[in-house]
Amino acid sequence: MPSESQMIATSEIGPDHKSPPPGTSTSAADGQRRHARDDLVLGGVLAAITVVYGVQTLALPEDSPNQADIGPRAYPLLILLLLALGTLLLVAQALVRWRATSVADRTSADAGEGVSTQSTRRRYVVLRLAAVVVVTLAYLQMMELLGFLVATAIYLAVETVLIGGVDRYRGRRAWVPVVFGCVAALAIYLVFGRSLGVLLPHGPFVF
Amino acid sequence: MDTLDQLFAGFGDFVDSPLMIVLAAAGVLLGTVVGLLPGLGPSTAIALLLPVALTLDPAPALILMVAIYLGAEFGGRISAILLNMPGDAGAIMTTLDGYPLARSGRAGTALTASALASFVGTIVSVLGLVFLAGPLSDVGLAFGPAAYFAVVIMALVLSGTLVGESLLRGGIAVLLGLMVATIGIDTQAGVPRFTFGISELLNGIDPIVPIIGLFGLGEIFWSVGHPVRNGEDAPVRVSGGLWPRWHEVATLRWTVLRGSLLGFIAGVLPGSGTTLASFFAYSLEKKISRHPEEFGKGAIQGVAAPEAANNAAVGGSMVPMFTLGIPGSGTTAVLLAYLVMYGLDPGPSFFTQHGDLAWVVIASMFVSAVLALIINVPLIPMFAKILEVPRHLLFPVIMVLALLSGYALNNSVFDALMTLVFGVVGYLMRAARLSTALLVIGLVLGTMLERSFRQAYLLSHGSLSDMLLQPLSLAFLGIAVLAILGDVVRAFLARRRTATQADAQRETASAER
Repeated sequence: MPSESQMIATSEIGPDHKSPPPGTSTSAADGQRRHARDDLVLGGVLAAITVVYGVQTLALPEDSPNQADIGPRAYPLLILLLLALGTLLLVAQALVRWRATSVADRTSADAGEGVSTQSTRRRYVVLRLAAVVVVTLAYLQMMELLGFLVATAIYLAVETVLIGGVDRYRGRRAWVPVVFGCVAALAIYLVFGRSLGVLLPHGPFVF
Repeated sequence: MDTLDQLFAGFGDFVDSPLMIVLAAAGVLLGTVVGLLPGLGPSTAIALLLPVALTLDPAPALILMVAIYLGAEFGGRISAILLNMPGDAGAIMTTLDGYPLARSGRAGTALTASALASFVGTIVSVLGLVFLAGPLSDVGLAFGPAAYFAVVIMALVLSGTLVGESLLRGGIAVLLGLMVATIGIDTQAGVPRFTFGISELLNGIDPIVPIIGLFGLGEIFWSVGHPVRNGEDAPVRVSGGLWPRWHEVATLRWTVLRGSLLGFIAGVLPGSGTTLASFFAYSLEKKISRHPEEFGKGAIQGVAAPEAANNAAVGGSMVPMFTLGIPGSGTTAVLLAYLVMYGLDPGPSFFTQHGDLAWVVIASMFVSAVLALIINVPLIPMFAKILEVPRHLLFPVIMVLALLSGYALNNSVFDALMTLVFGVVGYLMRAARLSTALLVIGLVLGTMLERSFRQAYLLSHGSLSDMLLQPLSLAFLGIAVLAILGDVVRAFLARRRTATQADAQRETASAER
């Protein structure tokens, strides 16, 4: 059973064993194989959704107080059946493609150098994205505690550094995200909180 | 001449209100800016407009939103031509010839010619809208719940085949949207469904919240995860004079008209929107050109045709929206969600009940088109500057605006949280190559679909066969089945073609050995 990183590694090299720099050439079979793998993951997620939705659907009462109504269960059941069908088709299709490409790719399974940099880069991107989402979650939690203006200023500064990269703001340039956060937060507060009358959460201060 | 009377009445209402004219101008300007910024499209901009929309009446809000939609199709071409990057999805085809033109020092010509093409495309499509909307809404009025159920099914199937890679992937995205729409208390039986014990979900999820999450946050997350490399290049300087030579413009007239008509038709088809429109127009123009080899190297027709088409698709996509309550594109799905939010109940009866609203919006599109043209030609150097705004400053602000919009609907942090959830969903869907636009279309149509399904069932006294075996229902369901079959056949042929190509390659390879 190959590990996740190995699978990424094999899928990123072309099937042509002789192509000089590995990782730079991506052939059609290569992309197909990666797509097939992604679709298997997607199929798993959809299967989980189908199960959760299915359990909930089957728990619904079949009949409606109104005798002539078809009831609250029929329509979700219809969607459920279609989604189950779609998931099965997707998985079947992915398995067929996976097998078709793995036969063609078997020769290149051992050439894995030079790709590790690419997969570390991908991991870095995923980590950064996860950080962006987690910071956003924290922001929503802090909004009612600190008030919109303060929370937003902090959030903007942090996200700017996260998205722009820490290297950009080393040393004296560290004030750029701070000033930007304060100015932009104030502008948003004035436009939406004051002019458009959105009832923004206002924490311990008036703002 | 009833149609024209209503149109002029719409013009009258529009001109009477300075606010509406100001909003149209603001919308066109804002639309151009979001259109030219890669990663931001009209759907995102319109979704983020929620706090503004809450303070406006439906008519001015819709005028602003439609102006943004139009402006975005103008704006998309600027980054396509100057940066080789489509500013929005409808401008993908414009890069093919726009960028080569800019590199050869004819950026000004390309920009002005495409602005004129966009303008003509808009006008042609709004004329189409004016003359098609009335008759089509009369047809729509004749639909009972059973026929409407079939129409929605047909629209969902057509959207699934026209958008995205395959009917299977499209169908899955649509189904996910339909599922989200079933969350909340079932109004007919009074039973909570799929709420998982969360009281905030009892009233259902307002489609606007997922839309803001998917189009606002999801797109930003995607851009953060997948930085566009050639975006680091400085844009090509605008040079070579703004005005194309008149004989060039004259040779473009048929190209632009063909593109406009094709774009309008593509816009009317459910779901397909601007992307497909520009693709069709470009392909057609290349096929019938006497010099097809020039396409891709800087043919001015290759810029004019897709630009005429993507603007024409805007007007086209309003036709099913106003007359049947069915979105002609992802962006009109957002507009529909707003119509629902305003309690205007889009559907077959919309045009008769809220005709004056529809006509003001249609009238405003003529004015917006003129404003877009006026704004777009002289201000191009300024717009090119906007492309230089660093993305790591822009993205955090857009994220705040998205969360703020999610919050503003009900002043609820829970809704903002849902926005974030759907932002992550949007990112994952793109990673899994599922169309978020289709989820939105399913989401917006879901409630209508179930309602008409159950009403039709009631009216046919509990007999599914009576309900479906009506001539109108059968016709629409038949079209849906044909679309599915066509898609299956097409996929089969494509697979056989690649299989034979692979066989041929294998044979030549073994022959070489």
